[in-house]
Amino acid sequence: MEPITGKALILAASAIGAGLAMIAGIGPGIGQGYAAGKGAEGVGRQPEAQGDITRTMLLGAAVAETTGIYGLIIALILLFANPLIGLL
Amino acid sequence: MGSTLDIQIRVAKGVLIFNSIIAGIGFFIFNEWVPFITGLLFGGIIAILNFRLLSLTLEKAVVMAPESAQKYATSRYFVRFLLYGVVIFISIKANHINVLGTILGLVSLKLVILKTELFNDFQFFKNIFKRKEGK
Repeated sequence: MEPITGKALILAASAIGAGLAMIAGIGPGIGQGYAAGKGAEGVGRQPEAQGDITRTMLLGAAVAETTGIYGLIIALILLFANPLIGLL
Repeated sequence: MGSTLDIQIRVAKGVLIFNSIIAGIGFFIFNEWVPFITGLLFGGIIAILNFRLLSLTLEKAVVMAPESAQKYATSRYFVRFLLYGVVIFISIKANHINVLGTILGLVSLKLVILKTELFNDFQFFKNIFKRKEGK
């Protein structure tokens, strides 16, 4: 059996790290869905406020969505442009 | 469509102005400034298009039943997330696009919204440190 090289160890740890970073992408999805559900409830209760509800929800959802992108960037950089391999 | 169109136009203008400022700074900082500005343009355009997609999704979701709105908004979020993934993957793999520029372009939307829509009331921040006991 061949010994584990440093590069192989870094690649394995990076793959695990990328998987963990992708968890950050799930949260905004759940949150956005929950907000949309509550927004629909609000519009059902007060139909004349539809414009205000949609505008407020749009801004909140756009800000929340960026948080998921951070995790995605970390995961993709770890997988396809890993800077740690160059340190060996 | 009419209820959020003004916000969409305002945010798109803000992103273009912000990206122009960042492109000007990048022109002096980076030796190879063409890939950086290409990435910034790529990221900025995708951010604006995804914002438009988000507004279409939410405008449709608010008139649905709450349970189906929840499922619809979540499923559409993952479609946009996949789109972001493809964009970042392309900018990592392509040599003529700087990934830092693309990331800045994508995140610029959040900065513009925070600046123009949420933290735009200076009077509120001035009043935070005023004592209210005397009144």
